[in-house]
Amino acid sequence: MKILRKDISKFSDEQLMGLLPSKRCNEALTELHLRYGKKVLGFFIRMFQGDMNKSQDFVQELFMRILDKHHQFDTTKRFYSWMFAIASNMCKSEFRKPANNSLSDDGYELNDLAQYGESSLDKKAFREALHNAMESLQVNHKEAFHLRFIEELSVKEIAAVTGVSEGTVKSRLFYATKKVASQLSEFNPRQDGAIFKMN
Amino acid sequence: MDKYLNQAQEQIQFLIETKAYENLSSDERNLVMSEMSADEFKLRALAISEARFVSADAEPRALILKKEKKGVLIPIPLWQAIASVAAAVLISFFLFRTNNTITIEKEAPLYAVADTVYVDRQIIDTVVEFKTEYVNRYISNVDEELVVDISSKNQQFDKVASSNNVQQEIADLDPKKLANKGNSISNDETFSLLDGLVLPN
Repeated sequence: MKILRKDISKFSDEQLMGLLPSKRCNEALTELHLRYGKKVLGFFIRMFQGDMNKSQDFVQELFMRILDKHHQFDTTKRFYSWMFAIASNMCKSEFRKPANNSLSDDGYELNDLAQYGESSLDKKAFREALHNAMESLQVNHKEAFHLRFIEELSVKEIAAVTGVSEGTVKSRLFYATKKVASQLSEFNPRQDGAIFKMN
Repeated sequence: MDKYLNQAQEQIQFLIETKAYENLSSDERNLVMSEMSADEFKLRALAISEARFVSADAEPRALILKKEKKGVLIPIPLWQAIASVAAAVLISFFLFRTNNTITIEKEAPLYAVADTVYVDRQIIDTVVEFKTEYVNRYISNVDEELVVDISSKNQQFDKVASSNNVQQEIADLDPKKLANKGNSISNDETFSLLDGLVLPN
C-alpha cells in the first residue's frame, strides 16, 4: 500500500487539511508548517513588534490550533486565509491581556540590501523607516496592512480573517497607508524607482 | 474609528495599489490631485511595494508534534472484523472436518453394562420387627440368667419358647390381635406412599 502513497509535498493545502484526521496527520501538519511557518512567523513578529520568542511560541500554538480545529475548516475555502484568521484571533486575544507592552526588537532584521546599487544606503534607510512606520501603526491598521501588502490577501479575505466588513478593511488600508507615508515624508521617490533622502 | 471611504478615496487607494503615477490617465491624475499630491501618491505606492521586503528574516522553530497514540489493539473497520471471523470459521470447517463413521464388528460380543440397579419392589418385613420386639420384651421379663448369657441366646430362646408362657406370648403375636396396638404399619397413614410395599398376611 505504501507504494501507492503520494508524495505529500504535491498535495494542495486543502488536501493536506483533509489528511489531518488520518494517520498521516503529523506528516501533513509538518508540510503545512514548512510552507507557511515563516509567513506566520513574520506576521506574529510584526504584530508583536519584533518579540521573537513570543512569535515563535505563537507559531507553534497556531499549528496546534490548526490540528485541533481542522474539522472547522471548510475545504472549499482557502487554507491560507483560514490560517491567518486563527493567527489574527490569537493576536486579538493576546492584545486583550493587560501586560502586553513590554515588547522587544529581538531577532528582527531587515532583508539583505546588498542587491541594490548606489542608492542602496538610501533604500536601506527607507526600509528601516518603513519598518518603524509600520510598527507605529495601530494594531488593526497594522494587521490589515500586513495581510494586504505582505501576505497579499484580498480585501474580501482580510474581511473574513479579521471579522469586519470590506468597507472597514478598505478604510483601514487607506488610513494605514496614509500614516505610513506621512512618516516617510523625508524620502523622495524618483520616477526610475530610486529613492533619495532629502536633507 | 476610521471613517468609511468615499468613492473617490476608494478609487485612489485602488490606483495606489495597482498603478504607477506615470501610468495614470489625466482623469485619474485629476482624481488623485483632489486628495493628495503626486509625491504623496508615489510615496504611498512605494511604501506598499517595499512593504513585502520589510519582513523578518527569521526561521520558525521546528514544530513540536504530539506523540501518536500507539495502542495494543489496532482499530480495524467493522467489515474487516466480520470478514476475518467468517474466514476463520470457513478455514476451521475445512481443516478439521473428518469422515469418521461408526463401525460395529458383527462378530464382536455385545456386553451390556449396567451401572445402575433399580429397585422396583420393596418388601418390608415388619413381622421380623414385631418378633424381635416381643422376644426382647419377653427376654427382659424372664430369668436374668438367660439374658446375660448372650452366647447361648438361640439355645435359651428355644428353651424359653417351649414353655407355656412363651407359647401364649407367641399366640399373642397374631397380627389380627396386634392390629390396633398403634404401632402397626397398617396404621401408618404414610403407608400408601410406599409403592410396592407388601404387608404380611
